[in-house]
Amino acid sequence: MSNWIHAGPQIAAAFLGSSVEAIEAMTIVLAAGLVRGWRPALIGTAAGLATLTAIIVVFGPAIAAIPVAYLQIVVGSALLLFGIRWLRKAILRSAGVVAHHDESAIYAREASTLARSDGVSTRWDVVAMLTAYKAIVLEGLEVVMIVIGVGAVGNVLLPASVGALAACALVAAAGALLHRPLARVPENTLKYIVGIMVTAFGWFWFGEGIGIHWPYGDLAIVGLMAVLYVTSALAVRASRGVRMFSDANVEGSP
Amino acid sequence: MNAITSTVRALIGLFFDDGELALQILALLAATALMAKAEVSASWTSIALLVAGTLIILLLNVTRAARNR
Repeated sequence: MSNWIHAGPQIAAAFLGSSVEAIEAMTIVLAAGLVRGWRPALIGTAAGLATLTAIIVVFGPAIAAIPVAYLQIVVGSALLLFGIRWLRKAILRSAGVVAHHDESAIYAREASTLARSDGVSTRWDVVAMLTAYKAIVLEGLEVVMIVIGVGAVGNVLLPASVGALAACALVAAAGALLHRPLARVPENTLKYIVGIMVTAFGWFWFGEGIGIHWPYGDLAIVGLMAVLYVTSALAVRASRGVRMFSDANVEGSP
Repeated sequence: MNAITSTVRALIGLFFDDGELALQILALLAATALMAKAEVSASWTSIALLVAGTLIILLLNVTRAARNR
């Protein structure tokens, strides 16, 4: 029980990160189901989930065999790269430099592509099956990465997995009830929060792996998140300022 | 074959969305590991390099992206 309380930040990171990925996968599965038919979309989804399960069963035990210091370095580096990528995107979206992720637009684009695809929609509609399969496998692998990243080193793989599964179940239930993409979920804010959490975990695990003694132990992660939050807020303001200055220069030029 | 190629590309994209940013971060991690190894007790200097280095790389990257959009 104490392990589960101790794992609060990891569960939260797994839940939030997985919900973003689940929403993205659900948008594509919905498009495949509504445009080409539910049976092939669900077959593709089931096949995708089976592939993910096989990957976890095959590669999962290998993680336990890796020495902790190496695991911390590898997982820490991967988390840092992964987290910085999300944080960068979230900063640029918040600053108005790149467009916000729009599930409705993605759904419309995917539905249009599926409607134009060759082949008749049948029980074994390969186009719909492959579309759903690819979405589930790719977004699912990101979920697996997040769970392994935040859970493997701290020995909280089970709580992190439960957090991720809860997010996926919640999104799937919402999709089944609403039959439309979850466009109102503040996906950029979620990505921002997860980017901060995952980057902080990445710093912490990589540091531990190379022998850094973090002040206040695990509590240092909270401090690292605070540093990231303040700096990323500054980065949003700076990027917005640079963008407005560039726009003004373009408009002012003859 | 196309599906496999696009899947592999998407997998690599999980970590290397912006190649330059990823390479700078990897170089910083290598430098931090070397510094930690050289220190008697790996702590403040390595922490400062790791944290400040990452933040500077991120700040420079996003402001450059804002300028070049």
